[in-house]
Amino acid sequence: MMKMLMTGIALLATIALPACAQDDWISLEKTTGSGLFQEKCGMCHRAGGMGTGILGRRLAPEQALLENRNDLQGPYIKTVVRNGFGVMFPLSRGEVSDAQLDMIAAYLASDMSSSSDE
Amino acid sequence: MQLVLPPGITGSEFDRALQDFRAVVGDDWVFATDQDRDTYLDHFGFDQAAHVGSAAVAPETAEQVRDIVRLANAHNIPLWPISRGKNFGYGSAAPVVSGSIVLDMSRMKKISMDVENGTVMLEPGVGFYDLFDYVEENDIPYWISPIGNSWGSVAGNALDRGVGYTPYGDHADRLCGMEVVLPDGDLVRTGMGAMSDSPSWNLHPYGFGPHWDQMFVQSNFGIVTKLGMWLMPKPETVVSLDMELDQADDLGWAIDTLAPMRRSGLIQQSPSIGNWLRAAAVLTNRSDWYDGEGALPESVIDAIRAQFGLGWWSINLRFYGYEEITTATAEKVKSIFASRTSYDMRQGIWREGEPREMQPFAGIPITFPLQNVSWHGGRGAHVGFSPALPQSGDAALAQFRRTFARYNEFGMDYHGSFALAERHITNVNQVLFNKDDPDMVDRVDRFFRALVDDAGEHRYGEYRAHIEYMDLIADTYDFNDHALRRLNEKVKDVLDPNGVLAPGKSGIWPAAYRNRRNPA
Repeated sequence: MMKMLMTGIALLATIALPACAQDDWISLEKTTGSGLFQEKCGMCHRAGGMGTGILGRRLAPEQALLENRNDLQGPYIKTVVRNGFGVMFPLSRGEVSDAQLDMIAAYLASDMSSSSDE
Repeated sequence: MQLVLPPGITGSEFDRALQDFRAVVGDDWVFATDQDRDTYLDHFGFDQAAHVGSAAVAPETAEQVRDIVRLANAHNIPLWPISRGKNFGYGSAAPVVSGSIVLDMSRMKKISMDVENGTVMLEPGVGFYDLFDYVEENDIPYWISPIGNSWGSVAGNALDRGVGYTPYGDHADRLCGMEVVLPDGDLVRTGMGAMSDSPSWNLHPYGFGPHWDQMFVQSNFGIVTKLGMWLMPKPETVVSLDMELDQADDLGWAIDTLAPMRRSGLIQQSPSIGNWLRAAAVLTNRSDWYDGEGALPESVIDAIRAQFGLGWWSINLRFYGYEEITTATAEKVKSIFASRTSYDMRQGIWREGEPREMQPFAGIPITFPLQNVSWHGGRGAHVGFSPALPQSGDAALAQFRRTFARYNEFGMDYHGSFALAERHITNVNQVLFNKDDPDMVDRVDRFFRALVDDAGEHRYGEYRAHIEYMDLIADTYDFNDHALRRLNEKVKDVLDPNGVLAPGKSGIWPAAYRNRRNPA
């Protein structure tokens, strides 16, 4: 029964999606602090990321995920992002603009990042 | 990093060029501070000072790319195009020629998805995570083909012949149609894209006449601003078979067992046979095991294998599709292996709707494998040497023995794998090192060159190279006194008479910079 239900949902999802022509362009750039954190930082700092794994060697497991931290300050975040830290490589302004970095830092330094939603 | 000017360009000429670039992309998207230059260095390489961009310019559209290329010609300044600059182990964002201006296409992050046909058109800034998130959040019934360290650009990886782990893992073979800015600023679309508004651009690969897509792979003949790719339909099941091989010499018969199954299509993804260090280097540091000099001794290798329950080699096979077919395939594969070995094969099955294995096998991007750069402690780095071999157990075993002996000779820890494509093996040798240890850095360079020489003696060529070694590798392709290089450079000189696009990429030097080729 469950399998039939799942198949049904999958079919609905397929039917509901338009068969896009190739000139329907969508930007994958995010615009919120949490979205930008996921887009720009998540590859290392979400579950399965290199940063999470390396931080997990010296921090409690729940602290290895940056979004769970409540001790991160904006200036510290920006310094690490632009200069790198240990094996973390610095990020260019082409990859993360200063304005985007401000939003990411504000998000991580706020209580919102450690709660369930922004 | 302090400014290194482009070759033959004065400070005032450089400033004027940057002003012109700013007029195209805006003041906020030209980067030329010392800190900016640092961010575009090769962070996982060993001689960052040898490959320094003078500045970076970040366009948002293909039209801006065209303008930048025209300006590069006008100012006679070389560009180093990057998609996301995450080609770790091969140079990251750094140029071959110091002083080049990095053309950073990270901001170009648009896609166009044809859900019905399972194709996607990508701009260069779209990363594996971006595409994965989009596909998953929109319940699109396809899987992406992530790579082992998935920071990078989907298009950039395909254009450097990167590989994944699903049946769509030969990424350069899954691309279909491009838009390319040529070195003179012209804009061309390949395949069916050459017909304006063709609905078949990403469906029929060739169009009419010569097929140019592969001309822009691992080359410096153009800047790909849009790339069409095919995606794998989401499978109903994935059946897994995993096996540990106890002895190093098991590699030979394992290759000879797998190769016919790969050729026949019984196995549709590229299985990789990798050694014990793959897990240990990701999860632990070397100092957890051993503080001595030289490569890890056998007793430590045994301890690592015991802790992680690993063989000398591990094999991971995956079968994708309808359950009746994947389970029957697994049974056939097991019966073939049973005629060669009594080693256990662990079988599992994933069914649609269940949580997926957090692995590229399951279309999930990951980056944790690069935790291995912490193996030596400190600021780690890595470089890969990956020759292509015939699918022969004897050839693979001989290659392994030679290479393992070299690792021991240079005091490095063996980190190798053998991936079976349809007709060849790619022998990926990863060299992990501490870039703050000058002695180790020196050893790694000499070690790498010894590996190239060894492979060259057996006429095995590398499929991809770090920017530092592109000339070295290109030189091994030596038929008829390097006729391929002559052809590449004839084409380069016609398309790019000023040599402004990525001089030195893949060992292809335009006339204006040819005297910079490193002697082999």
